[in-house]
Amino acid sequence: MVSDFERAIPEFSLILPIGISFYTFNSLSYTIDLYNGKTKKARSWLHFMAFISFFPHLVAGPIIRAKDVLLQLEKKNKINITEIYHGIGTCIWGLFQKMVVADNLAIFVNNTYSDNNVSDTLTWWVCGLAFSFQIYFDFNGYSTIARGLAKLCGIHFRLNFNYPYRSLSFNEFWKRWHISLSTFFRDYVYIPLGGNRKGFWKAELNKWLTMLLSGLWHGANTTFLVWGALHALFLSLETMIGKFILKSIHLPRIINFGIVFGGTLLAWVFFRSPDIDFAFYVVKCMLSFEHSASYRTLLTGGVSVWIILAVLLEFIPFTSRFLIKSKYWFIQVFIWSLMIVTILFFRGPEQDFIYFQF
Amino acid sequence: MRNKKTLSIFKLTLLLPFAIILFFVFKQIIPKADSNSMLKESFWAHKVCQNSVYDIVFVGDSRVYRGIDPYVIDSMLDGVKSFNYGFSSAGLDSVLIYKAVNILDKNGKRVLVFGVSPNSFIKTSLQNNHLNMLVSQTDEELYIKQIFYPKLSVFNTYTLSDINKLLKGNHYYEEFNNQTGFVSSDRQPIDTLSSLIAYKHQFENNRISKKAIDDFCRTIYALQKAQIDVYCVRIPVSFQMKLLEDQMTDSFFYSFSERLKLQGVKILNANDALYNTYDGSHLNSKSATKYSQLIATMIAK
Repeated sequence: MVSDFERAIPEFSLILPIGISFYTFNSLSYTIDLYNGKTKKARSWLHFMAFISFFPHLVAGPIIRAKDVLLQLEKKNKINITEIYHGIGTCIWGLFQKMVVADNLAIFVNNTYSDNNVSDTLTWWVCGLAFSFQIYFDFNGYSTIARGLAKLCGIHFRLNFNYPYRSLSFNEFWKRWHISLSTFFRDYVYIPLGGNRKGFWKAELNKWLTMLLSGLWHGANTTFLVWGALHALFLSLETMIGKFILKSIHLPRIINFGIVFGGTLLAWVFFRSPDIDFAFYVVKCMLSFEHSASYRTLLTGGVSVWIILAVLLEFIPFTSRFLIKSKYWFIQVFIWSLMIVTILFFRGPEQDFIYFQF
Repeated sequence: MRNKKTLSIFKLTLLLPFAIILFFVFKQIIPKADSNSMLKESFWAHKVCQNSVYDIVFVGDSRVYRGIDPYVIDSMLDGVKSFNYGFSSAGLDSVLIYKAVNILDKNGKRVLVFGVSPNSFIKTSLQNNHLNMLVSQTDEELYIKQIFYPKLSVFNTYTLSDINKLLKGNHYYEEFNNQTGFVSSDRQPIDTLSSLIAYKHQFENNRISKKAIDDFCRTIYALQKAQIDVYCVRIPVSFQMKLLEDQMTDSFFYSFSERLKLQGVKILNANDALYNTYDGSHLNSKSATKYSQLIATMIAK
């Protein structure tokens, strides 16, 4: 009976500026690079402020570097109509990835994670697969929109994702996934810790510290810590197996791909789960080979269509090349128009960007 | 360079007309949706942000908001303004009732009509998840849904299963009436057994809460003391559904209605055979009109 009254009482909550972590990253990168002599001092405070508060990437990245952006600001790039055209196209492509692919995959993922009764092995594997693509297209969608917006302002951002799931090693995965964050951690954590200059075991320790810190950056939760630890473990195992066991033997590409994709998928379970107990429950279900869900429902349901689309976009080079950079301009315009219409008709239910919370 | 510039201008100019043409081509190709999700969202936002006050308010679950049409009631009872305050899987707990009382006109007839079913008193319903989800939206979200969604409903989205169903000839019509809170519904093909399994599962896992019934009766007593007329109705369902509900709840409604009668509550238990449901649980639009007429007659008496 008092719920309305209770609701009317203002709740105390901490107000944080939007994009605080990216302001921090930018300032850190500028200060450290300046100290190490890797970048020049900004010519004017206006350039510096523009670099710190450049809006397209502020909410979820990519993390930009002083040396990249300040140089472009100083050059005073002129924005021409071709840039505007490509900027708009990049934004449409980003929106398509987020609103059509990621948000539609989110329906199945959210339903599965919110249902405490799901114990079926196949369902959890499909869910893991769906989430792997959801987080990728969600975040890559945002990064692409940010790149498009920056392009409209005459600034060029570096690529933040480079088909990460095509990787054949975990090392390669981290060179393709969230490139701006992984290079940030490499340059400002791993290398200052000593990198691989102080022996094999020290390099491994540095790798673990960097990955654990990267996990903690996502949130002070054990699930993120385990996610970081799992990737550290994969990277270490990869190095050790390569160094001590399989020195001259090369595994077939498909096996390498399977190991990397499977390991990444497993790590995502911890990233997505609300708590560590639930994450272990999911992993247990995935490995228990218990079948109760109807295969037909899973394989013919909406989720399979979105997974197939995601697979095509990620793994078939022709698809993405055709969608993003077609040879013929009229096909390009047609595809972009088609993307706009697909967004209007087939966008999934509204979802926040996953990386907004970090 | 100049050519490149001209081509870019040309391409940019073509982008929007291309998109508009494709939009209309899609509209022609894709079968017309039976229900508009944006209008649906707007409907719920209107319902939960209700500012007007009414003489009669109907409270309950989806059977209520699909089964009682306030427009019919208002047209049969002179000078009366009524509203359907039903929510999906709603349980009759004090929060829902309190909200319903809030939209009763202090100077009006002050009538509350509860749509009661065994579902109204089971644990999952008493959590009132649908209502809570609606209430938890921010004021901005609710405002946008109320004002802009109806205007943007032409951009209603489709899910792949929607299209699959439409192509197979399965229709689920829904018409949302923001003014009355009523949803006129129908389904083709009709399948009066379709909801039985879900309900059976529901009753197997959830028992009727005796405490919730006691609380409800106490609340009714308080409402009566506050000069509010209370009616309880059991909305018609299919024969199989009624049998299932009675079997799985030890004929809860009969003892419950006897108890309420002793409290002076008027009960309406209609002849189910006279009404048609499309899924065994919800009245189709024609039967909803007929049933609303019956309720209006009962209140008029």
